[in-house]
Amino acid sequence: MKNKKQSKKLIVIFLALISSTCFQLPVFADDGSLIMGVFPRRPAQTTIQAFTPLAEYLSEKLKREVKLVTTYDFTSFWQDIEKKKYDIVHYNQYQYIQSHKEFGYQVIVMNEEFNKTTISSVLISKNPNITSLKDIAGKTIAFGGGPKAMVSYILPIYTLRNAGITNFQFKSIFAINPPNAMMSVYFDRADVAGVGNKVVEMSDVKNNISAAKLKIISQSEEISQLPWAVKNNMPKELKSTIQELFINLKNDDKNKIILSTSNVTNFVIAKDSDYNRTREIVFEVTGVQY
Amino acid sequence: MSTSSTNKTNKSWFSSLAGKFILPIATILTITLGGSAMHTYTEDKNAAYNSMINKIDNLGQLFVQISPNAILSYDFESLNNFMESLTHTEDIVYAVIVSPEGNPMTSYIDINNEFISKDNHNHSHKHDFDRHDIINLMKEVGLHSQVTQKIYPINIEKQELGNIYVGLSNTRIEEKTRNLFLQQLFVSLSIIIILSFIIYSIFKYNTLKPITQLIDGSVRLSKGNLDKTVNVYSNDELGDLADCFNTMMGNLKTNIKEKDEILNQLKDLNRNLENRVEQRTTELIEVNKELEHLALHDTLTGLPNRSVIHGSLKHNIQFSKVKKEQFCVFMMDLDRFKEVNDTLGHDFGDELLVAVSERLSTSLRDTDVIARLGGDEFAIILPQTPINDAIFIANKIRKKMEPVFMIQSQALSISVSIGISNYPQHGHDTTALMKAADVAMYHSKNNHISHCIYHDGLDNRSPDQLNIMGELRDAINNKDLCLFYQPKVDTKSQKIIGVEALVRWNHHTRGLVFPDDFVPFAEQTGLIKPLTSLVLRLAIQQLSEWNKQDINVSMAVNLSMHDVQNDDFPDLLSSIIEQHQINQGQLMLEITESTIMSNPESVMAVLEEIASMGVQLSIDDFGTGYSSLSNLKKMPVNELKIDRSFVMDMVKDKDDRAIVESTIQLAHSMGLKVVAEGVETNEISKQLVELNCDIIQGYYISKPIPVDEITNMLTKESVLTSSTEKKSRTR
Repeated sequence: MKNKKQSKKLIVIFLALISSTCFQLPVFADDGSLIMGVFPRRPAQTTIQAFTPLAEYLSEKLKREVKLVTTYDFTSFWQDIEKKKYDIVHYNQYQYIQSHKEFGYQVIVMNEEFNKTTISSVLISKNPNITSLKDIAGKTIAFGGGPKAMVSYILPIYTLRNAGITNFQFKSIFAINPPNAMMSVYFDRADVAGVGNKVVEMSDVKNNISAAKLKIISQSEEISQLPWAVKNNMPKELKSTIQELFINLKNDDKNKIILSTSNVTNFVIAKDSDYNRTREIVFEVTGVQY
Repeated sequence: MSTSSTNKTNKSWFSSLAGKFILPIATILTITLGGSAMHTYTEDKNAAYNSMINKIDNLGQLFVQISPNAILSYDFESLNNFMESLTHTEDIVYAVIVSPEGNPMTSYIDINNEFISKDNHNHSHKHDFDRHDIINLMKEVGLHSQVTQKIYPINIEKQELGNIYVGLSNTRIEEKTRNLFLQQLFVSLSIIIILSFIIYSIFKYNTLKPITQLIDGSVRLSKGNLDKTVNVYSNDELGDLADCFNTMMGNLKTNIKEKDEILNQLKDLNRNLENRVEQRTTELIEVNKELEHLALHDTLTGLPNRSVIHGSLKHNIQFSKVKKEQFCVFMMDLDRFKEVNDTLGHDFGDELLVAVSERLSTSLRDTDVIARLGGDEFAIILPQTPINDAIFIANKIRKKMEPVFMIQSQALSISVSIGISNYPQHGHDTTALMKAADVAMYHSKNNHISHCIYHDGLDNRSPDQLNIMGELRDAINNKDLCLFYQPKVDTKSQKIIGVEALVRWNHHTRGLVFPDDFVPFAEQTGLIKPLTSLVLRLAIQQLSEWNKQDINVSMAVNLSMHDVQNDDFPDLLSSIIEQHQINQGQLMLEITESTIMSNPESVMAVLEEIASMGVQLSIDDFGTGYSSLSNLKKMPVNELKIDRSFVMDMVKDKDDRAIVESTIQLAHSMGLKVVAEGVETNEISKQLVELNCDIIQGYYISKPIPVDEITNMLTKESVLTSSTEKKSRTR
């Protein structure tokens, strides 16, 4: 019986190793290839599926391999950023401003999702007794990704603070990502979820829950969409080429599928100043100036 | 062959040998293979079910291991993916992770699953289910008999995180194992059919075919065709059977041939036998005719005998009764024929009788019946004849007899006596008519007239007493007569030394009839002969019985005149004695003195013949017949019986006493014993003893008594004493 348990544990460990092998793709490229890291906004598998065409497109255009890498969670991803393992990186606004400040990552393009280059967060609930922010006191709020999630934590907290609700008036739980934060509400693990306003429309959510049963209680102000940045030491030509490749995707019909697969309607040129409002909000919430 | 085929067609295949052989085999194969298929089906089903459970358990345990991380990190998408992947596993209807509070933490439901789609038509999309829907759905689906719910708890460090609810369907296993079962069943059935066919074919070739040939051979045999043998070439028992059959057929053929030869011989023998039987039958018919003629006709004259005349009489009575007509009967005998016979010899007498019968025949009509009854006695029936015509015919007969007869060159003149009776005037039955004619004939003879017509004056006994005579004839034939016995006591020893048998007629209406009332009639009608014969038989038979009981006495029997005049009597007596094996000296025949004196010479001859046989003779009623002492001296008698008339009065009448005394002395002087009859008193008895009488007999000793009483008496020591005592007591 004991042996059986042990063998099961071994199987689990083996599966976990396989899983980590799959999801932790090589972060160092000594062969001239580029490593493109994408933050775990969605489950790792979904992320790989969504951005593989883009990586292949870039590889093709840059004539070098572009290796797509993601992690299981935000913490792991940030650890890779700290190690500067990603040549091209796609992450949230908060991570960008921090990496920009601490590691010199420079934004080149941002997402245009649902034909918008801005994004806001919403507080949603399934509980019919919660109809406004004042009903949130004493409830559990699920956030996606962790305390560094911009749209799924910083922005909702900012909204709540603006409404006079402090962190001590509710219980915070962190789902592994924003869709799961929303699903925590759906599965009654939380009363309220703080997520991006377009999370509801994400296929990950649609495939798992009936979002119609959830209602939006509050919506935050809009901030710039998620950025794509490159290392600060990347050659300028390459940086420009990559930027062009991103923004030119929409111009070629055959590449539009790459946009749709990546769950964006377009990529648009972005500059660091586009994230100043983000820096202000983060400062307001965390007290740290990036 | 056709019969065999017919038999085959008439028989049901199931009752045939093939059916009886194949059906059990097919049944055994079916049971075996069917059972095997069923067993395999059950085993497969259980194994598949266990395999499914094991697989699901393994998967469940796997997800139990990987789920806590996702639960703790609120990774519902992964949980959902887990459950989705689990749900997509074979045989799983649903897989839901439920929180410890009972709320589902995953939403994936395969709405295409047959059980889900059956019960949740209103859910068009898989995410239309809220937590209540999912819980209810699990409950509802769990109600299906094909669905089993398994629960895998998710724990970490004793903290309950939730449970994985898995709904398992055994539909696929059922279907799969059922299909396997059906396949196996099909294979088994195929094997059964093929094996049965092969076995049947082998059986048919090796067994049924020889049997069919044997059957055909048997059919041929039953039709008598023994030429064709049965050809079965096999070394098994059927081959042996066929050889035996052929051998049997050969033997049968030989036997039939021999039998046919024997049959032909038997037919020849039978034919010969039939011819001989036919010949013997013809001879027998002839002999029978002769015997019948002899039985119905007199051998001497060729005339019908007594049987014919009786039959004819009955016929005429019936006929005349219906027609209301008269007819007459003649009884006729020849006058002085006995003298002719005695003087001229029996042959002469016979020739005379033949001549008389010839004249009689020419004297009568064809319709008249003449019969010789015996001796010189003839009977004639005259149908449809009144008395006047009968008288005319009687005269005609008389005249016919008047011319002398020339017998053996000797002229003889003879007359006849005819008695005539008429129906219905003198009787309505044969006995009465014959008796009436007989009485009339005796009257005619006694009065020396040629014929006499019967009338009541001739016989005061008629017609009632005539009827008695008829009854007596029947009584003799039916042995309705019995004997009473009167003891004879020796005066010296005072013991019974003998008994006298006295006949009694036990008449059904008249009671006990004494011999004086019917013996004379018997003597007159010829019945005395059978009567004497019967009495003799009864007496000697009883004597024989007493001998067997060691009762040693003599038996006295009275004879009539007719008996001693009958030449056949000694032969009759001899045959009866021989039959009963008695000592002849024990038998004493008593003849009255008058009988002897009526024809001493003739009686003497018979008596001598009787005496020569050793039979004792006694002269009865001595003193009433005027015996000639010279004749008496010649008689071979042993005893004298003094008539009762002298004895009864001897006490009162001195003359009678003197007669008794002298008779005793006379008898003693002749060496004869003396018996005194009629001893009715003690005084008579005493005087007889004084007179030296040897034997006394009478009512003083005992009246005639039935056989059981006399037998009882014979066993006593002293009769005189006991008799005296008995009478004293009576007084």
